[in-house]
Amino acid sequence: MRRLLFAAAVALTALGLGQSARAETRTPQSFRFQSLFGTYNKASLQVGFAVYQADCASCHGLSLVHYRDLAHLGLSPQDIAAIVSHIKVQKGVDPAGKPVLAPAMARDAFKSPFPDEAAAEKKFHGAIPPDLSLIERGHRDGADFVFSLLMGYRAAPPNVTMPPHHFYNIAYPGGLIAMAPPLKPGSVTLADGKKPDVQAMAHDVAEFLAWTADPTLDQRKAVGLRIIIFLLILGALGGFAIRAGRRT
Amino acid sequence: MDKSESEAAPGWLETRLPLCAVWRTQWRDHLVPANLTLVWSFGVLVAVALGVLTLSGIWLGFAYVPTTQGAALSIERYTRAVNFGWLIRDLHRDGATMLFGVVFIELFRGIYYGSYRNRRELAWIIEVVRFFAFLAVGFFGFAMTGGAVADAAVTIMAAHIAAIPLFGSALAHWFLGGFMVGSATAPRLAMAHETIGFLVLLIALLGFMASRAAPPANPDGIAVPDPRDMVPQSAYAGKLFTAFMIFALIFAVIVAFAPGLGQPAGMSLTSPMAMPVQPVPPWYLLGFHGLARAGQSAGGGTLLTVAALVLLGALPWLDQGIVASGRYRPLYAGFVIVLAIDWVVLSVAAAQPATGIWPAVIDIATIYVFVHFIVITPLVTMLERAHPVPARIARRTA
Amino acid sequence: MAENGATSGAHEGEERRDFLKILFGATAAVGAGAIVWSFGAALEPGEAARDQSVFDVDLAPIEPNSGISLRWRGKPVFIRHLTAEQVSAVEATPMKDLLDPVPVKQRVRPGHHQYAVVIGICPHRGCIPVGNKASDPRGPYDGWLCPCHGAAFDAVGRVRRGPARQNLAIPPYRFVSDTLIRLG
Repeated sequence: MRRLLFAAAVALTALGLGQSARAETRTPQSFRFQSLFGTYNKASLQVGFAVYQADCASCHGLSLVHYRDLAHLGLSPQDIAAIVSHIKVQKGVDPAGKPVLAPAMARDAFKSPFPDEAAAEKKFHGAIPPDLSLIERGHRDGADFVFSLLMGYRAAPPNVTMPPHHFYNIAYPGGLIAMAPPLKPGSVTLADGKKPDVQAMAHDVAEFLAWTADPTLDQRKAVGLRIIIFLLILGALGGFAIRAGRRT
Repeated sequence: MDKSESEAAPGWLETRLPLCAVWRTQWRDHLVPANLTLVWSFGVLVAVALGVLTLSGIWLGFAYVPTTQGAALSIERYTRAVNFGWLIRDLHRDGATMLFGVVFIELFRGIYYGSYRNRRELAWIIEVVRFFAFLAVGFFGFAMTGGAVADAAVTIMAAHIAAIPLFGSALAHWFLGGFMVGSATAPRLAMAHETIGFLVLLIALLGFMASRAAPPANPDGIAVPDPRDMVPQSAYAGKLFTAFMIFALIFAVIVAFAPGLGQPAGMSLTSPMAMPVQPVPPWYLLGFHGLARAGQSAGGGTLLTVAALVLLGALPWLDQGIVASGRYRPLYAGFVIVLAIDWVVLSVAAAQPATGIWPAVIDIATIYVFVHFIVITPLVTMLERAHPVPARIARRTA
Repeated sequence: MAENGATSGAHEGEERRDFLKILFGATAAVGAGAIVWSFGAALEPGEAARDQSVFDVDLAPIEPNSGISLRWRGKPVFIRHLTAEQVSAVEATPMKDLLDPVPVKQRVRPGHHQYAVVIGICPHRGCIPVGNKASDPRGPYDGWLCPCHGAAFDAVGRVRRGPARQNLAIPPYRFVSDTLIRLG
């Protein structure tokens, strides 16, 4: 039986290694949260949010995120109140049936950039910009993918004919993407007055989108570590108790 | 000392509902062979996993919205906006991984040690039925999470069903509640998941009874152990505790650092672009996904899957040798190890796109599964020269 | 085992065993408690529900002698902007005429007597009184009128005519600024 379990484990490991050895076309970036005990970098998340607001929010929604969730990035209630006061969302209709615009509230979900998919299709020549809430979900390298995509714009090689409204991107499957290079240098200003370059912006917005896809990562690792330590103590105590019981 | 305490004059409740007596006779003092190993604790681990899954499942049921749009959204919101919602979702999702990990090892334990022999046929068949029910619950649980990948999986399952001759397409409509995945589908997937989920508890109880009624299985495959080689089950408390702690630690590590291990990314809401994903089921269904994919080209995916389970249940009749345990059957043990490796290869190949060598790997691995049961098992039984089985239990582990 | 002169040693061993058993049992109980607690905490209202519990309402758009209805924690809340005459009318009502006698100052916030904030559920059988819309009848006491059994309330929600016996309830709220209240 021991041999059987061992053989199955070896087979699984070998095949797993073979899998991961496949050619990787993406640029690996170091994200602290991707390491075993790593957590999100709050400063990075805040810049990432600013980048999203400046360069992404006009086309991509974040339907699963609420403004109050920004507290997880280390923003105070006053900061959040200041942010939402500039965002006008529809709050019901007036007696004449016209939509009423009012400042968003902390409890509102992120504002959708367009009323429905049909409107988006019309505005963006048939390509609907996806909601970004879960764009990095399920890929261990999801943040790397977004970073590579943002940094992957190149001039199209001569043998590729570009369809209208498309751009050449080496990180995108097939190479042809309908999204124009979104990050504009200088669209974000940090607290110290500096303007991050495009690579720094891509890094931080990739981390921010990792957070939107998996906001409980920090809590999960902290609680999980406590559970594991508890189990180790419980196991040791139980082992001692059983051994002492045997001796008497 | 403990004995005299607990067997003192029974109290008011005990004379009317003898719970302590049941605990004593059916558990603590129940006699079991003295040579059981750590893997024999896995029956208890199945019970632990089922407990976790039932509890977390009820809690997820508070939040789950069985509609096409609501399925994925409701659980996604639950993990984000409810206290410990992420923990309860992962106890359920990764609890399934723990259950199937235990169940697969338990099944291979049965095959390896010939636990289906010696008047244990019915106990074995019930274990196979229970396994089938687990697979069904696992599939429906995966399917009911909605999102692009799960919906694709349901569509593929419907196509498998539709491929059944004669009444296949009618059955597929019945399964989906329409021509395609629609508003009728999510509620019935959820109900199937929950109903079969509770039915499993009953099947497990029947299996426990059948297993208790037959002579005890043991790693030496000794049909009826000498009474002097039997020990009360309480002698295994340390082993049971060790097994439980290992189980709990692996579970905690997965929940904390690898949630959703071996399960498709799209088991929750997927955005339309996402990255091009291939509908791959959770790891525990992959082997059967492979059988179905191999059968697809021959026009009988569903039939192959069912046939494999029927053959597993038929092991007591396919393997008619005198010696039961793989410990004394080197040739048979070798083939069981090959079968285990073959299943891993089949599972991994089933997760790959249908290009390159993978379809061929799936076909070969599938053929081997059937060759093992139909050809190798009976043939080895006839040809191999087994080592002599000791009359008494030599290696006492308790 | 307790023989061969090691009685005290064996006794110590037993004590040690019992101590370890209790320690283990207590630790396991802590773990079980943590599980029960987290599952219990998961049944508390989530953030989405908590969002509804505190609510800011801007009173500036409410014209004098008109009111608005809104939902707060699933209940209808009426806010009425009273005119100076209406305020003095309710303040002039003698206590003996009231079914549930409460002075006006307990029905409104100090310094903001012109705003009446009440929960719009009739204490009699739970119907929702009318009187907020311009087209609604306000009943004989210029407040609200219950359409089910005809209970009538004055402009600060005090019951003036049965079958109701109690005034309209007042939700917890405070003035954040002169024209902004925080419900909850």
